[in-house]
Formats: sequence, C-alpha cells, structure tokens
Amino acid sequence: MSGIEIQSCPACAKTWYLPRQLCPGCGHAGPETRPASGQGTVWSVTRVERAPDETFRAIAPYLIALVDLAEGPRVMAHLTAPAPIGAQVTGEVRDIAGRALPVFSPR
Amino acid sequence: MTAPASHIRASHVLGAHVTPFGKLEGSSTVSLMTEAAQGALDAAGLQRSDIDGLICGYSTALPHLMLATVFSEHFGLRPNYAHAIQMGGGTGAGMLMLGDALIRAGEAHTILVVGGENRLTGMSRDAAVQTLAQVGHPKAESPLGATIPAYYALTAARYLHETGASQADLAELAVLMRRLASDTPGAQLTAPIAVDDVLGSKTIADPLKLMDCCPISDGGAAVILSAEPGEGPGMRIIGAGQAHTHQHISEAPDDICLGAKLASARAFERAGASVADMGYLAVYDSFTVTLALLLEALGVCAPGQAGKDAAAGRFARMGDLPLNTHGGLLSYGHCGVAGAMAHFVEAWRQMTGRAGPRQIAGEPALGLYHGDGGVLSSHVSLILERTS
Repeated sequence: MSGIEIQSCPACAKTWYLPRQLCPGCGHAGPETRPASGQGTVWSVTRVERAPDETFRAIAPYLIALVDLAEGPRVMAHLTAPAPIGAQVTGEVRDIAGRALPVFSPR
Repeated sequence: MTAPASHIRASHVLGAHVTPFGKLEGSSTVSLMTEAAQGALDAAGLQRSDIDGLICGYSTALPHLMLATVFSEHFGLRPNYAHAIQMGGGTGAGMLMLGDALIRAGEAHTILVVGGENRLTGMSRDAAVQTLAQVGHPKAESPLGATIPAYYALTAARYLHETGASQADLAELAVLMRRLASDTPGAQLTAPIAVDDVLGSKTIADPLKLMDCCPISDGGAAVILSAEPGEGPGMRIIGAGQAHTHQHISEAPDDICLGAKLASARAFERAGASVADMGYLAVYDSFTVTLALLLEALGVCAPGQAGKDAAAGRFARMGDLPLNTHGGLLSYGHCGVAGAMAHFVEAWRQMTGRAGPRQIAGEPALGLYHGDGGVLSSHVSLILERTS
C-alpha cells in the first residue's frame, strides 16, 4: 500500500485526511483509519524556491502540491516531477529530507 | 455619561494613528504599541483616563499570555475590560469588530484597539518565516517545508488556472500598491515599480515572485472607538461580519475564498448596504493573490479581473473606487496585527477628509474594510460610514 492513511466515518461515510478522534461532519466518535490507494489528481502545485530552514534549503527548489486522493480527501504532498493542475499522480510515504512524507509522481 | 446600551447602534472612531513601518532600530512590541496608542489619543484629543476598554492583538516577537495587561500597565491604563485576541492577519479587523460589539453592548464606553510589533528587527528572517509557517498543520503541512508564501502560492496557481488571469495581472496589484505608497509618509517601500519588475523579481514560491509578497516590518497602529461621536467629520462602524471556513489550506473549500463572501454578506446585511454602495476599500493584501481573491470574492471585481481593473485605474487615488491608498501591506508594510490596522487608519483619514495632500477626490459615504487570517481561513468584514 501507499502508506498514506485517511479516516472515514462509519456513520455518515465522510472521509478526511487530518487525523481526528471525531467525525468533523456528524460527530460520530468512532472514525476508522484506513490506507489510501495512493492514486490522486493535482488540485494545485507550487515550486518552493525560498525554503524555511537549512533542511529544506539543501533540497530547494522542490514541488509541493495539494492532491485530491481517489478516496476523496485532499493531501499536501511533495511531487517528484512537475505535473500540472488536473494531472493524475501516484504517491506513497517516502523519506524526504529525513522525514516520512507523502510523495507523488506523475503517472 | 454612558448612554443606555440599547440606544447605541454603532461605535464611532474618535481617533486613529499608524507609525512609520520598516526597519525601526531600537523599537519593541511595547514601544510601538505605545507610539501608536499615544498618536491615536492625540488624534482624538483624549487622555489615558478616558479609556475604559483595551483590546490588543498578539506579537510574534513578544509572545505573552497577557499582552493586554502588559501594555496596559506600561502605558498607564486602568481599563475595566482588557484582553488580547489572535486571528492571524484577521486580528486587526477582529479587534475592531469586538470593540464595536462591546460598545454596543454597553460593556465599555471608549475602547483603545492597538497593535504593534518589531517583527523585522526583533527576530531573524528565518525565525519569522518559521513562526508564520505555524499557520500550517504541524504534522501534515509545515513538516513538508511549506511556508506562508507556499500556501498562498497554491491558492495563486489555482486562481490563475480557474480564472485565466495571468501573473502580469497579479503584478498590477503590486504596482498599484507601490504607486500609492510612493507618496505616503512612513511607507516602507516607495521606489516605483513596473509589471516587468515584479515578473523579473526572484521566485519565492511559483507563481509568486518576491514583489508579489509583502515585506516584513516593524510598526504599530491604534484606533479609538467610542459610544459617542467626536467633533467634526467622523466615521462609525455600521456593519460587521465574520466567517471561518477552515484553518489549513488542505481543508479549504474548493471555493477557496468562500469566507470573504460569507463574512461580507453578514456585514452588508446589518448595514443595509451592498458592495455597489462602497466608495472606499480597505482590503487585506498580504500577497497580490490575496488581494485579487478577496476583491473578487467581495463582489468588487468579476472573477479574474482584479488585476485588469487595477491596470485600468479603477482603484487609483483619483479612481472610481480608491483602495488601500496608503500602499497596503505590499508596500506600506506588514508588521503583523498593526499591518492590517493601517488599512483602517487610512480609511478613517480618507473618509473623514484628514489625508492632506493624499486626500481622495470624492467624499465616500460608505467604505468596506476586510481582513483575512491564516490561508484565507478567518475573515472579518466591517462596513464604515462617514458622519458629518
């Protein structure tokens, strides 16, 4: 699997990415955590040239995108290569600058 | 002296002041708040003892649990009501909305609203960038090496994609703010720029260039609101509204500036006015795209047209609808809370005929002030009315 995890609500079927103990839609207290397929579509993308610190200055410039997962939630991730808005991408959790981060590549 | 609360329909601006913005060596959060507060008292012709309420914001250079009482003690106030609030870039507008609500509720009669911070000289540029990046999610966004400009660049890329506007269109907004700042005393950036200068400046986070971004500044600003009008031309707050659609851009609605539509609709409803009635605009402009998105969400411009409207002179000082005539965050400067308050101070000066040689031509009866915090997350709209 991709290593990317999402949450979903067994009561109202809402899905989301940022972890919570309650469904932000209906308030159900038992959201389920499940793996995402890693398939997605680029919603927006930027090439960061001014990095915030030494860690990221070492790999700048780098691409950051908002990717709409096939399961629904929107995820912020790195891109390995330029991909325009609307492009199909495939991703997984990978090591970037010593951190486990979601990383997508054009399909 | 205090009128019954039920009779107070709007709070009046008695005085306002903004310090110069820029690199102010030796300044501190408290010294800038002091300079701004004293300037506002002087403009209003009031004494410290006239102030019974104090609202302040936050300072990234001086994080404190109780900034309002730190300042109150330093400045020599004994307010009946005092605290700080935090809404990112929306803080200035949020403080003014709260002050108006407190006055209308009868909780205070005369409220000092003040912000100030030595954000430029008080911390390193990296520290400022990293502090501000906390607006992002601590696990799912900030660790990716994302910054505030990167978050706004994601909105910009999407804006350009959806509307067909160009980077040159966005650049027009930076050019306009610089032109307005060029003869504003106290502005941080005053050297004239052209669209090509913006497009040729270094990329920060594509498609945003350096000149699409506001500078980091030291500065302060203060406003005094009261239950009763002062002498001469005045201004009052006749409508206010907020909307909070998300914190993190990852969870923003597809209509990314929806909050501005919701907040302004509430403000317009209370004021019994519409955007077409506005004769002056004071709109948050942390990046060129912020200003474009807000102007379009507020209904001032058609989608994708904000930059073209600016290029056509619509928002010039002598244009149909003057906008941020001090030069905005993009050129007057951005020191945090007070940065967005400067727009309000300028609106008060222009709408009450106090802008001197920079005075706009018309005498607008109504104006719109809009602030946003986070990544188009928290929105506050105020409707301003000139009183004679």
